[in-house]
Amino acid sequence: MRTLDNGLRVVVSSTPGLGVVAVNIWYDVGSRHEQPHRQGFAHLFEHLMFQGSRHVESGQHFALLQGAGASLNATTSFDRTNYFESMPAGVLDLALWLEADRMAYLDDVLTDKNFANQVDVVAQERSQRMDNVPYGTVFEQTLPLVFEPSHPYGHLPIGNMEHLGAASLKEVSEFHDRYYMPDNAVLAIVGDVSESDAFAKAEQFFGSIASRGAPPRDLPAPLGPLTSAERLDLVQDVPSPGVWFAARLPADAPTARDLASFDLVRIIVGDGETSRLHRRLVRRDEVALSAGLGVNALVAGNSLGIASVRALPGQDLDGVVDTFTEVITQFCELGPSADELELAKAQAERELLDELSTAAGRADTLAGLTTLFSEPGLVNERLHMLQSVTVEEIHEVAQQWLPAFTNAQTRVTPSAQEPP
Amino acid sequence: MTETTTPPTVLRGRRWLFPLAVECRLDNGLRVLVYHTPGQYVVAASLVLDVPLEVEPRDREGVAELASRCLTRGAGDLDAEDFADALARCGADLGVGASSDIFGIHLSVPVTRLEPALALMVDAATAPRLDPGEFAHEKRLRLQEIQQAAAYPQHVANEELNQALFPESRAGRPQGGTTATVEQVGVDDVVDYWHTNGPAAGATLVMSGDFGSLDPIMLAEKTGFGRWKRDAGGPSTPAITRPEASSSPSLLLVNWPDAPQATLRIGGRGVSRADDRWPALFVANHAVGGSFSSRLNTVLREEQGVTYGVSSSLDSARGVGVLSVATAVRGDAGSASAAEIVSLLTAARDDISDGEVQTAVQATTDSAALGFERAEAVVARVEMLLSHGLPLDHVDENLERIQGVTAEAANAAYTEVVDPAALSVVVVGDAAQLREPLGAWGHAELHELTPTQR
Repeated sequence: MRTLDNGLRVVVSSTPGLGVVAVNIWYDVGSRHEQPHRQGFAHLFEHLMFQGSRHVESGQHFALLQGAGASLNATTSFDRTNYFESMPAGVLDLALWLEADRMAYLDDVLTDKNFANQVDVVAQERSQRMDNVPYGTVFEQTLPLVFEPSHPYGHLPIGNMEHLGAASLKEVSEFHDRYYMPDNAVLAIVGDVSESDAFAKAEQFFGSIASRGAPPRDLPAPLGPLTSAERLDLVQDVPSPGVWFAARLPADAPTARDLASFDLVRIIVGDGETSRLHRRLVRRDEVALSAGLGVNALVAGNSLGIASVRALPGQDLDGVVDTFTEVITQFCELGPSADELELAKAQAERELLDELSTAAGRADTLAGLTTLFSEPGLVNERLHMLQSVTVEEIHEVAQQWLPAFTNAQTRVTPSAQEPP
Repeated sequence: MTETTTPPTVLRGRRWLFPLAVECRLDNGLRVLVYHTPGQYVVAASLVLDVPLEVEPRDREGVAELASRCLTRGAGDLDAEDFADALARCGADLGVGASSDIFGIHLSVPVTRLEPALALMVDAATAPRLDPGEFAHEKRLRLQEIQQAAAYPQHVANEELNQALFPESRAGRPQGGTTATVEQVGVDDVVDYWHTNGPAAGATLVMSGDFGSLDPIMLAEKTGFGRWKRDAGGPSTPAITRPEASSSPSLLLVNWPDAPQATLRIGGRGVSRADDRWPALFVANHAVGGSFSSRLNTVLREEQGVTYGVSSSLDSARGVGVLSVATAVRGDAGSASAAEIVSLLTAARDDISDGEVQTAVQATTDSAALGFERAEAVVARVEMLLSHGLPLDHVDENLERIQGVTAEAANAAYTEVVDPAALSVVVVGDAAQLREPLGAWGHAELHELTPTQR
């Protein structure tokens, strides 16, 4: 990794062959940075980044890159926004030039029309992903049970369409000024390009962009597991009952052993067909179509845990929750068997290998580790850390964080009396 | 450094070629294809069997899907849970599925555990327990899935389009069967299906990855693929004739009260991948609806803002192809958007420009390598070739033909194959909003359906 004079951190991993190069830029801004009355703004801004910049006409970003054989996209999450493209090696200069132009000069060409158009598009994105899908809004409504609405993680990146409708172009410029600068970004270049060429190109295209002084990383204090019982009951047009749980977890950090251990808890208890939740609720008791537990690793004080059970029609949710609780409690009492731990480690290793199997995956991992922890080299250490976790550590971290999963529940009951 | 005001030039690289197969046959005649893909430490292996869905008894459609679920529910010496644990111990995924033309068993596993994972895969194929209790559980789950899927407008839209395009053939009915047909399936049907088709079907084992010093062919032999008793008669793919997609225009509104969006599926005749017109039609489709900057997406998303995205694709099975457009739009725009899509497809006839074609050609040929970085992707593509009966050099040959597509050829193919006036249109949305404008559209007589009546 090198840092340019303007603060842009550049990570390069040269893997010659296949002729493919991946670029990934992480900006250290996500939904957790949004103002309370502008939920969804970081994601809307991400959309606007494709609308053209000083030397790029509206629509040309996609057209130029796809036309040259690249595939590209961007995503906004709680902690960050990333912009990425994979391409034939000869397209690298074009990609870097485009990324630099919008990093430096986005707001030159934005019009009210573009802006209004993308607000509309985001509204349809939300509809398509959430409002027009059974259970699509449950997670959003469960989040405030574990994080105050004012907490950085109290709302989803997709945000609130009314807030976005009330926003202005001026706010877009302000957001760009505040968060989109070289010293608040990490550029990863991975693949069929030499290290020296990659660093030279980074300097060539980004070197002249002025730094502006990145906003300080302002992280709230970590919260312990939720101790109160928070409950939301929903009646919706869904085919069968379900229950969603949310929980606070330890924050992600360079050597977050407790989160790494909890990730193994995730696999053993709630991920896949060999998991405890699946075996008990889906196979043995046959009360559910699916049951699982997931972890969203985050940096602002806490990470987020989510679990859910999609029950079979007619199932009583009290019983389902009791069984879920029993699985959690048993695991906390006795911890994992050595065999379970071995299986979980094999799965975790496999997940890491999958992430790293493409240039794009490697670029995203490196950009992420650098943005959040300034240590791209962690990619090599994480597997070792996982492999060294002991049964005792897993037991301990489970006892600390797992029981609280049942404290925040959203129960969804079908509005139709009879199943269809 | 001075600021560059125009985009840098793109350097086009040397031509990318699909990896070459190392090919051999095991002692039992099983064909093995190995593709070495350096750097891919999660290796992929697929056993591809020539078993089209049409072999299923009409009243028991879904038996193939159930068989695919049951193959991994215990095999060899291991019951269902031990088998799942054994796979997990390898960090392996073993997926099984039946599609239009083939039945596939798909393995992906870190190369360090290839041998034990292959052994499990062999057991699933050659000695699945097909335990009645496990079957019963899978059948119950499957029936639930079918019911639950009906709650998703996207699923309903897909199924209704299939039915409209293929009213009389297998392609028009759900791949995994319906409630009525799955209810009829017993464990004996699954056993029959597997014992009839497993050993008899034309079969190919496709493997891809960075095998290091391992010899995948030797491992395939050693773990037992070569001991699987294959029928002496050799591969027998039943001769199937598949009707073309319907060319009668239709318009169906599935009422979804208060839906915030209208989910649209619009389709009609396309061509199969083996068709001579495929490359030209592919290029034309790319320009019209197959990319972010296509005509459809530019109008509906970037200009009108009614959708998060719209795309058209060429779907293909052996001997038959469909062009279909999929999108979800703001609810009240359902009718206008359906009309807009048909109108744009109509306007594209003989109208695709040189520039559009050049962009589509370059976008396709130059992005080819990206799609095949992973071992899994290489295997999936070979599976597609096998399912279509296409030669192994087809990927390169197709790209070469795409490279040579001119605007004239693209327009000729598009105009010949795509008939916008003959399209089937399915709209899943709020009839209170959409009934009237759809009724007035004129594309076809409006039929309306309320889901509970199905």
